[in-house]
Amino acid sequence: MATLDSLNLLSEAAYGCEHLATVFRNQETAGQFKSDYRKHYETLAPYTKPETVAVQASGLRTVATLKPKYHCLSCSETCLNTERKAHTKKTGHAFYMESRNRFLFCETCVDFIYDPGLDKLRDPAAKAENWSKSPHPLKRMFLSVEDIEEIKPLKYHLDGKGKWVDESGSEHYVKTNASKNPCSRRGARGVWNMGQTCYQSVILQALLHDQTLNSYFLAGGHDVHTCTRSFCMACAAAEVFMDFNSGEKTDAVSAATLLYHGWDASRDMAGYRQQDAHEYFQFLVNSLHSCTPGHSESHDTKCECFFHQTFYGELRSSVICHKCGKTTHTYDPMADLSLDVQLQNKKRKLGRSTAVSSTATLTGCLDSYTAIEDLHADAAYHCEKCGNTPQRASKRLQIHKLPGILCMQLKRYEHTSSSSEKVEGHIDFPLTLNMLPYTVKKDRERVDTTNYIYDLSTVIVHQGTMDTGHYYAYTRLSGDKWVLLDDNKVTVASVADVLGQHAYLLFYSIRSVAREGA
Amino acid sequence: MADSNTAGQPPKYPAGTIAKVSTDILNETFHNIIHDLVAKVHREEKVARMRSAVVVAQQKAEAECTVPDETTGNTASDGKPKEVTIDAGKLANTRLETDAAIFDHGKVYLKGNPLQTVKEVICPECGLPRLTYPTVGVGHRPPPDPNKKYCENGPLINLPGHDVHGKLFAIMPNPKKRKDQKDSTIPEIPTSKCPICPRYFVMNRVAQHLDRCMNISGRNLRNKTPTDSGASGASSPTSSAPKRPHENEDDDGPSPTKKKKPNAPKKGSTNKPSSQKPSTKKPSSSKPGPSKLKNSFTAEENDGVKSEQVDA
Repeated sequence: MATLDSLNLLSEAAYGCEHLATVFRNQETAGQFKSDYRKHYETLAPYTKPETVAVQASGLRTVATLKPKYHCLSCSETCLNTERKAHTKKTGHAFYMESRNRFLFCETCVDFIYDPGLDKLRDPAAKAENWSKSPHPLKRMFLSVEDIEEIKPLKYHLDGKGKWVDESGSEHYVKTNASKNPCSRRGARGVWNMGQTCYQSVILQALLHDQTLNSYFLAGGHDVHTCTRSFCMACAAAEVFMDFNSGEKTDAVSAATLLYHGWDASRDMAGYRQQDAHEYFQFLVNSLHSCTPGHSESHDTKCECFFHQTFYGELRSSVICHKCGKTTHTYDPMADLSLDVQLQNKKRKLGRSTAVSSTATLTGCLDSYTAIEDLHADAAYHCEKCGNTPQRASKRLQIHKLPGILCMQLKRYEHTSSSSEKVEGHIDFPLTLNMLPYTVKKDRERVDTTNYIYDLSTVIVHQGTMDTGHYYAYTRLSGDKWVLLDDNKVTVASVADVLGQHAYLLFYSIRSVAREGA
Repeated sequence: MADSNTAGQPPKYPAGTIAKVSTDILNETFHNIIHDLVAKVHREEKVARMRSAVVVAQQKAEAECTVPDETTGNTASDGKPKEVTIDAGKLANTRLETDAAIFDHGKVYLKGNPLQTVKEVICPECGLPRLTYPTVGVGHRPPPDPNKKYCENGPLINLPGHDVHGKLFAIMPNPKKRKDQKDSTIPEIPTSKCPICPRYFVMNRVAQHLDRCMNISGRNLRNKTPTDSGASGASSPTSSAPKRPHENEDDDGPSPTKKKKPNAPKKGSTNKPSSQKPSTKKPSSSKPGPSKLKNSFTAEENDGVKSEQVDA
């Protein structure tokens, strides 16, 4: 969760169990085992079925059982839970991979085993082993952490292609140079409301509980000592991140400098009054981006700054001309998804008496966001191929690139000619979200769905009316612990509490980066 | 759907019927859900125990290899590796066994299944055991050993009126009570220095003051705060007379009747106008003004605070 405890590296056992240790002591068997493991791990990945092939070739498939299966690592045998023992007795093969979670099972232990070395092999990042040899700006950033007191080693890096890489090359460096931060209930700290600043507090809480941002700020991603920008937002944010993670403190943190710098930067955001948290989020991300050295403001070149890589995805909007069938794509950066909920709510109001099943869901909102919509002829889409004449066309939005941190806004307003009103009502949102259906994905490709899984990290709730109200946030600490963060008050929340909220903003973070466990 | 699964005796359906297929699918889906939940918890717990086994073995090995140092008397102290000198060479050649692990040449190998061999989860960071239950609040249990020290990263506390750390919520400081009369167990909302001027404010008043101090409501007249009337407009950056802006500000204050008034105008004397100058990049740290100010507000810091925040 919030902090990366690479100190755990120090306390990792050499092998998952004794039996695995004997396999690994022998060079030959170790190599064989690792390649078997890799092979099974990849075959058992939850791939999408290539749609075209599935229909033609397989037709009806016979499935004996849906239960988890145990794949023998040494041969191609697949066992059920009950059949494993017999197979081991017969062949002497003792290691299996379980099909649902791809955990390793040792029949000699009769238990699942979790080997730190093999876990590293699980990551696609392991392939990029030669990464550490190349001089990389982020590598340098990592090595400059010495002067920061609360050193939190950076565990993940972006490689040149924007992929996340586990930086094991610096493990030794971390071991020898990291100083321990005293234990505390990490991340369970509030942010002071300085008077109508709960919009800032909730957004900060969402960011303060993100691993990637923590590693960035705590490892000196933005160097506050050498930064010469006046009213630098990133310096102010770094200050909050450091304060938030410092030592034994359990009370709330103050973000007064950030507020001051923010007010200085934007007139719209300034002043002692209430603000929209979503607008503040966009403002904050944008100003953090413009405070980062090496950022690019031009529209032609892609910005490579950290905040762009973390928060910004890319939307593809495709327009198909109905006459000639020509498709034009345009790509736009997106910092968040703003989802309409009006329709869903109206439907709910009408259908309340008849059907309960029409509950609004986040996936439903995403479906309609990425659905094909018809552009009317008079909306004047001018097709180039058809000689720039207005044509009927249809348009579709899809996600081309997913961001590491995905913010979604549920537009809870209803505009009429005279006034705007807030729409109450519950919208179902999941703890884990598969974003694959909303991306630009070719049906024929086999895709490992685990790369598209997002975990809910923060839920921001607005209480009150359109003009006035209060924000509070629910956020996930390590594991499945959830807390309610209401300004400076931090209290326990259950998962059921969280999922029952009338959410306004939802923050999801990609799973393949934030490794589970720990 | 669920009723086919509720009975103690599962209903039997003949093979090949829709009823058979659907109950099978349902049953196996439930099986999978439970399987995944158990697998997740199992992983968390087993990894924690594995680490505990390793930490215990490492602690033991380090204790054996500690260089007896006469300058620091507390060589046996736990969790303070800085004060303990460890003979690295000796450590690398040590081999010893605990119930759950073998420490051999710097590496730790597991012995048996840590779910059976490890009884207590040890925090890998501080080396202290972790509590499984909170000591107060919902689901509390007394700690297994009241004299023992436990890792601070314990279970979250769920107690009405308290936060997850078991602390009471902070309250507004009461200006009428003297310091010695106050209940030290109830935390008070702290004060924070204004990023621009040298005055201190109770945390939840900072924004309101900052608005005035940055002269935002004067800049664009859409602020709705009732306290900001004509006065704030007058306190313009051009009025560089040191004391005037501050008088304005105190007029704006919610409690102009407080007795500590005479001190207030002195405090920010030279600093207020500087807020509008772009040159003061870091007023909070670099330009707190003459040292006279510093002294004055450290002495009367609390008084200034109290006069600011009566009606909150």
